[in-house]
Amino acid sequence: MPSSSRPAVTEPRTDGAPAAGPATAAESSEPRHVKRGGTIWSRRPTAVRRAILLVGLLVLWQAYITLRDVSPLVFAAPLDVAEALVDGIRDGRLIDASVVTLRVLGIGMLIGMAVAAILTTLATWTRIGQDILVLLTSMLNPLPAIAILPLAILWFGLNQTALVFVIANAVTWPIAINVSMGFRTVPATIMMVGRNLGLRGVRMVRDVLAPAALPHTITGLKTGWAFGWRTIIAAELVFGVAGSGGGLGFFINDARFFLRIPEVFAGLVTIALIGIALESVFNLIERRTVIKWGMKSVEAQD
Amino acid sequence: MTSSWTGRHAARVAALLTALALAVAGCGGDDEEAGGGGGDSPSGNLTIAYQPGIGYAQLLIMREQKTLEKALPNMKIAYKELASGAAIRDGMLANEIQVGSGGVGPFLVGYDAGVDWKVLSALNRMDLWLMSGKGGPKSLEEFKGKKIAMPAPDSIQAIVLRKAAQEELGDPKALDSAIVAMPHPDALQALTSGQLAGHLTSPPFQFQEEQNGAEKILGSFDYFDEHTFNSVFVREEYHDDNAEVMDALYKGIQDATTMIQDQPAQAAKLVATASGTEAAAKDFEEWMTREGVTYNTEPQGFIAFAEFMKEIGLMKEVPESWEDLVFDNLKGGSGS
Repeated sequence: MPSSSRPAVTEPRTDGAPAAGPATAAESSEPRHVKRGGTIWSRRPTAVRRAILLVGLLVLWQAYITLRDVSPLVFAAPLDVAEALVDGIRDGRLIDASVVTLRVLGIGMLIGMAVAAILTTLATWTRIGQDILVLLTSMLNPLPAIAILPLAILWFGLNQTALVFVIANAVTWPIAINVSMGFRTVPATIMMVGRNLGLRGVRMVRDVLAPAALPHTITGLKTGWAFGWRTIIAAELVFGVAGSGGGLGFFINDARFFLRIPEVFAGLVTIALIGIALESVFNLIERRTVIKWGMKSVEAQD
Repeated sequence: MTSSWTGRHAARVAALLTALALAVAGCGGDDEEAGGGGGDSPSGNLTIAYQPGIGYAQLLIMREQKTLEKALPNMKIAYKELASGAAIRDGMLANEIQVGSGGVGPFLVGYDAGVDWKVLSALNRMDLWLMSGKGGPKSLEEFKGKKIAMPAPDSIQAIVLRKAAQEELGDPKALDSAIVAMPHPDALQALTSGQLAGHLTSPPFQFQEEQNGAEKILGSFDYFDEHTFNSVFVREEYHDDNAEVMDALYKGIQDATTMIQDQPAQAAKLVATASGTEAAAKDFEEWMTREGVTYNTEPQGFIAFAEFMKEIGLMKEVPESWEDLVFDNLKGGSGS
């Protein structure tokens, strides 16, 4: 598998990356037991193999619809979905819906990050702060954030504030857990060097702990955004706000109400594509920072 | 290269193909009919779905009196209450519900999208009111930027709101962003507790809200004359294969309608019992006999709704005649 390993869909290449960069990352994702020069299949480049599988799945899907004469009111054919996708992008409805969803997610994440930063800083600072953090994360992290939507609607009304609240709640705890884990696993030597330099409190957190905990922080952000993304789609589906100003979950719901099944699928595809895109952004950040700096091994990247 | 195509690989490929074939075959296997057509007395499952409110009084009376259970002793009859016509439509498309009921909106949206269903019987004509909560907006204009609840964005209430917005505000979509999908009982509470500015609803919720201090802003009869609110619809295939079931159902609906017209007190008692509030029989009688509430099995106003829905892009085509929308038992009547 020499120079053939091109970046696959989910692994965009980082331009001008060092030799230990993405090329090796793609190679290392090969299963170990696959021998070099194995079957015809395993000798194809990753991208080609995945593309063939994708096309195969699409053909099977289309064949199922065509051959079994499935009612278009129940299941949409891939060609109809592609058409709905193009239409939705062209008339701007899909774009608008995506922007609405991403904006709410973004605000929720910012709030979640701020709360997590404050909590973890307090936790490293004081004993009581740590107890509060442990108590809160152990209580609230296992709780699926969508479960508090009914309460959020009651407190904030049927508006985006309720959504932002739910997203912030989904995002805060995974970030807080990971960051505090990062803080706690900072090597004692580095801490002592910091202390010898006379650092304490916020400066200790900012100059020593935060950079040392960066791998955990990025993992926390990745987990947090993944939680937030799933939660916001679910929340929008439940929310049922109609007309203009709805996000992707609403887009799907609205299409379902009017039996535009290809649009339902187009909404799902959009959600998946945005998910893949954001995931790759985080992978890219990891490669450009913690992996490049040798703080995290390439294999450890999800 | 040839060495890689050993028997083991071939077996793997074969297993994969078999699995795929099974998956494909398994996905569409459940299109058997729920009710048998032949035999002396029809058997099978019959699930009838309705929504909250007195707009489904005939179905509630039939449920309470076990009308269909008596007429079709071998059928397994079940009644289901769902929150919106769209939910009932989904259930019918999934073949879980054989007989659905709901407002003109979801029926026409489904008909236009190609659902093979028609109206077996209309149930009633009701003036649907837009209620404004205590101290809330006093005119349609003031609802801009606020929330109005209704069962779904394709419900008859949503069509009425758009027609009102077109006539009063000059733009049918002026209040689209105000629409919140919510079942009537939840919306009643939300309106009373001030969570919502408005609720475009149906009897008896509008009467209960009025009692709680809400105010009527407009009624659907102002925009669509006296129109059918709910009707009972069935998919054509099921209808044609189950003539006896359909006869029993239609007769049951007509008998219940006659009872509501001739013995409202008794009918109200049955509806109250079916709604789980036996004590409120007097209230139900008052609601079911109020002005703007009539029980009538002739469809009325379907074409008027379809024309408006086409105008604002919610339907592609207007049916040529109301008779295209109904089964033979209703044709030749005085519908519209």
